[in-house]
Amino acid sequence: VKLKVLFFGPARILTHESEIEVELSGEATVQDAVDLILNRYSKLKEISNSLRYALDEEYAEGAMQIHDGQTLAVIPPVQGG
Amino acid sequence: MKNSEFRITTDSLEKPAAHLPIEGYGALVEFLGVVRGEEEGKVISALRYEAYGEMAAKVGQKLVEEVASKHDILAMEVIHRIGEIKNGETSLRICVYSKHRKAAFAACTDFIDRLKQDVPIWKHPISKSS
Repeated sequence: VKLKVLFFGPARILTHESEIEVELSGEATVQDAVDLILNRYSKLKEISNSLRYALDEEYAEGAMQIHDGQTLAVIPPVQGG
Repeated sequence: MKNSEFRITTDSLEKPAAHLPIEGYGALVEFLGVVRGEEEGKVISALRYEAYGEMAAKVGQKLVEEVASKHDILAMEVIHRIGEIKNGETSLRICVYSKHRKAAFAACTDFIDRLKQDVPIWKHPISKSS
Protein backbone atom coordinates (compact mmCIF):
# COMPACT_ATOMS: atom_id res chain seq x y z
CA VAL A 1 0.00 0.00 0.00
CA LYS A 2 1.50 3.32 -1.08
CA LEU A 3 0.52 6.36 0.91
CA LYS A 4 1.24 10.05 0.46
CA VAL A 5 2.01 11.73 3.80
CA LEU A 6 1.70 15.48 4.38
CA PHE A 7 3.23 17.39 7.31
CA PHE A 8 1.92 20.72 8.55
CA GLY A 9 2.86 23.36 11.13
CA PRO A 10 5.21 22.13 13.87
CA ALA A 11 5.25 18.63 12.28
CA ARG A 12 6.73 20.07 9.09
CA ILE A 13 9.33 21.99 11.08
CA LEU A 14 10.36 18.94 13.14
CA THR A 15 10.61 16.58 10.15
CA HIS A 16 11.94 19.13 7.62
CA GLU A 17 9.49 17.53 5.20
CA SER A 18 6.23 18.73 3.73
CA GLU A 19 5.37 15.66 1.67
CA ILE A 20 6.73 12.12 1.49
CA GLU A 21 5.58 8.75 0.23
CA VAL A 22 5.60 5.61 2.35
CA GLU A 23 4.88 2.02 1.52
CA LEU A 24 3.31 -0.52 3.87
CA SER A 25 2.91 -4.21 3.21
CA GLY A 26 -0.37 -6.09 3.33
CA GLU A 27 -3.46 -4.76 5.04
CA ALA A 28 -2.46 -1.67 6.95
CA THR A 29 -4.17 0.80 9.25
CA VAL A 30 -3.65 4.47 10.00
CA GLN A 31 -1.84 3.39 13.18
CA ASP A 32 0.59 1.24 11.17
CA ALA A 33 1.44 4.24 9.02
CA VAL A 34 1.79 6.45 12.11
CA ASP A 35 4.18 3.97 13.73
CA LEU A 36 6.29 3.92 10.59
CA ILE A 37 6.37 7.72 10.40
CA LEU A 38 7.27 8.13 14.07
CA ASN A 39 10.07 5.60 13.73
CA ARG A 40 11.47 7.39 10.72
CA TYR A 41 11.19 10.89 12.24
CA SER A 42 12.07 10.46 15.90
CA LYS A 43 11.80 14.23 16.57
CA LEU A 44 8.10 13.96 15.83
CA LYS A 45 7.76 11.83 18.97
CA GLU A 46 8.21 15.07 20.99
CA ILE A 47 4.67 16.08 19.98
CA SER A 48 3.18 12.68 19.14
CA ASN A 49 0.68 12.81 22.04
CA SER A 50 -0.92 15.92 20.58
CA LEU A 51 -1.00 14.81 16.94
CA ARG A 52 -4.14 14.01 14.99
CA TYR A 53 -4.29 12.42 11.57
CA ALA A 54 -6.47 12.93 8.52
CA LEU A 55 -7.07 10.43 5.75
CA ASP A 56 -8.09 12.03 2.46
CA GLU A 57 -8.94 15.28 4.24
CA GLU A 58 -11.05 13.77 7.03
CA TYR A 59 -9.94 13.18 10.62
CA ALA A 60 -9.13 9.48 11.00
CA GLU A 61 -8.93 6.98 13.85
CA GLY A 62 -5.94 4.68 14.21
CA ALA A 63 -7.93 1.54 13.42
CA MET A 64 -9.07 2.80 10.02
CA GLN A 65 -7.77 0.76 7.12
CA ILE A 66 -5.71 2.55 4.49
CA HIS A 67 -5.84 1.96 0.78
CA ASP A 68 -3.37 2.44 -2.01
CA GLY A 69 -3.10 6.04 -3.21
CA GLN A 70 -4.65 7.68 -0.17
CA THR A 71 -3.23 10.77 1.53
CA LEU A 72 -2.46 10.86 5.24
CA ALA A 73 -1.94 14.25 6.86
CA VAL A 74 -0.11 14.74 10.15
CA ILE A 75 -2.11 17.40 11.99
CA PRO A 76 -0.55 19.10 15.05
CA PRO A 77 -2.88 21.13 17.33
CA VAL A 78 -4.49 23.74 15.11
CA GLN A 79 -4.01 27.48 15.68
CA GLY A 80 -6.45 29.36 13.48
CA GLY A 81 -8.14 32.57 14.49
CA MET B 1 -28.43 26.50 5.06
CA LYS B 2 -27.82 28.36 1.79
CA ASN B 3 -26.32 31.56 3.14
CA SER B 4 -23.35 30.11 4.97
CA GLU B 5 -19.84 30.30 3.64
CA PHE B 6 -16.32 29.63 4.87
CA ARG B 7 -13.35 30.49 2.73
CA ILE B 8 -9.63 30.98 2.91
CA THR B 9 -7.85 33.82 1.19
CA THR B 10 -4.43 35.36 0.86
CA ASP B 11 -6.05 38.74 0.21
CA SER B 12 -6.15 41.54 2.75
CA LEU B 13 -9.25 41.73 4.96
CA GLU B 14 -8.72 45.38 5.83
CA LYS B 15 -11.58 46.73 3.70
CA PRO B 16 -14.90 46.88 5.56
CA ALA B 17 -17.10 43.89 4.78
CA ALA B 18 -19.82 44.38 2.17
CA HIS B 19 -23.08 43.31 3.78
CA LEU B 20 -24.81 40.30 2.30
CA PRO B 21 -28.18 40.92 0.64
CA ILE B 22 -30.10 39.30 3.46
CA GLU B 23 -33.66 40.27 4.34
CA GLY B 24 -35.28 40.16 7.73
CA TYR B 25 -32.27 40.38 10.00
CA GLY B 26 -32.32 42.50 13.13
CA ALA B 27 -28.78 41.80 14.29
CA LEU B 28 -25.42 41.68 12.54
CA VAL B 29 -22.41 40.64 14.58
CA GLU B 30 -19.05 41.18 12.93
CA PHE B 31 -15.92 39.77 14.58
CA LEU B 32 -12.38 40.57 13.49
CA GLY B 33 -9.42 38.54 14.69
CA VAL B 34 -6.38 40.84 14.61
CA VAL B 35 -2.65 40.10 14.89
CA ARG B 36 -1.73 41.74 18.18
CA GLY B 37 2.07 42.02 18.01
CA GLU B 38 2.75 39.57 20.81
CA GLU B 39 2.86 35.79 20.87
CA GLU B 40 3.54 33.77 24.01
CA GLY B 41 5.07 36.83 25.67
CA LYS B 42 7.38 37.68 22.79
CA VAL B 43 7.19 40.77 20.63
CA ILE B 44 6.54 39.91 16.98
CA SER B 45 6.13 41.87 13.77
CA ALA B 46 3.72 39.51 12.01
CA LEU B 47 2.23 36.03 11.95
CA ARG B 48 2.51 33.71 9.00
CA TYR B 49 -0.55 31.48 8.72
CA GLU B 50 -0.53 28.20 6.82
CA ALA B 51 -3.48 25.93 6.09
CA TYR B 52 -4.11 22.44 4.84
CA GLY B 53 -6.18 24.26 2.26
CA GLU B 54 -8.56 21.63 0.91
CA MET B 55 -9.28 20.13 4.31
CA ALA B 56 -9.58 23.52 6.04
CA ALA B 57 -12.13 24.61 3.44
CA LYS B 58 -14.17 21.42 3.92
CA VAL B 59 -14.03 21.38 7.73
CA GLY B 60 -14.67 25.13 7.95
CA GLN B 61 -17.67 24.97 5.63
CA LYS B 62 -19.16 22.08 7.60
CA LEU B 63 -18.67 23.99 10.85
CA VAL B 64 -20.30 27.15 9.51
CA GLU B 65 -23.31 25.16 8.36
CA GLU B 66 -23.61 23.30 11.68
CA VAL B 67 -23.28 26.46 13.78
CA ALA B 68 -25.70 28.46 11.60
CA SER B 69 -28.26 25.69 11.79
CA LYS B 70 -27.85 25.19 15.55
CA HIS B 71 -28.41 28.90 16.34
CA ASP B 72 -31.09 29.55 13.69
CA ILE B 73 -28.89 32.03 11.84
CA LEU B 74 -30.08 33.71 8.62
CA ALA B 75 -26.61 34.01 7.09
CA MET B 76 -23.01 33.56 8.15
CA GLU B 77 -19.83 34.42 6.30
CA VAL B 78 -16.35 33.50 7.54
CA ILE B 79 -13.08 34.41 5.84
CA HIS B 80 -9.70 33.31 7.20
CA ARG B 81 -6.64 34.97 5.74
CA ILE B 82 -3.38 33.01 5.38
CA GLY B 83 0.15 34.04 4.49
CA GLU B 84 2.05 36.77 6.28
CA ILE B 85 -0.18 39.12 8.28
CA LYS B 86 1.37 42.12 9.98
CA ASN B 87 0.58 43.42 13.45
CA GLY B 88 -2.74 45.22 13.50
CA GLU B 89 -4.05 43.46 10.39
CA THR B 90 -7.04 41.14 10.29
CA SER B 91 -6.56 37.38 10.10
CA LEU B 92 -10.19 36.34 10.54
CA ARG B 93 -13.52 37.97 9.77
CA ILE B 94 -16.86 36.54 10.82
CA CYS B 95 -20.20 38.13 9.93
CA VAL B 96 -23.35 36.64 11.44
CA TYR B 97 -26.86 37.80 10.48
CA SER B 98 -29.79 36.80 12.65
CA LYS B 99 -33.19 38.00 13.75
CA HIS B 100 -32.01 38.68 17.30
CA ARG B 101 -28.65 39.57 18.84
CA LYS B 102 -28.29 36.69 21.29
CA ALA B 103 -28.23 34.09 18.53
CA ALA B 104 -25.69 36.06 16.50
CA PHE B 105 -23.29 36.50 19.44
CA ALA B 106 -23.66 32.85 20.43
CA ALA B 107 -23.05 31.60 16.89
CA CYS B 108 -19.95 33.77 16.55
CA THR B 109 -18.45 32.51 19.82
CA ASP B 110 -19.41 28.92 19.09
CA PHE B 111 -17.82 29.04 15.66
CA ILE B 112 -14.50 30.49 16.88
CA ASP B 113 -14.24 27.87 19.64
CA ARG B 114 -14.72 25.09 17.12
CA LEU B 115 -12.43 26.65 14.52
CA LYS B 116 -9.68 26.63 17.14
CA GLN B 117 -10.25 22.91 17.71
CA ASP B 118 -10.73 21.48 14.25
CA VAL B 119 -9.85 23.67 11.26
CA PRO B 120 -6.32 22.79 10.09
CA ILE B 121 -4.64 26.20 10.15
CA TRP B 122 -1.36 27.02 11.91
CA LYS B 123 0.50 30.22 12.71
CA HIS B 124 4.20 30.95 12.86
CA PRO B 125 5.43 34.07 14.66
CA ILE B 126 7.79 36.35 12.79
CA SER B 127 10.02 38.20 15.23
CA LYS B 128 10.98 41.86 14.92
CA SER B 129 14.58 40.95 14.10
CA SER B 130 13.90 38.38 11.37
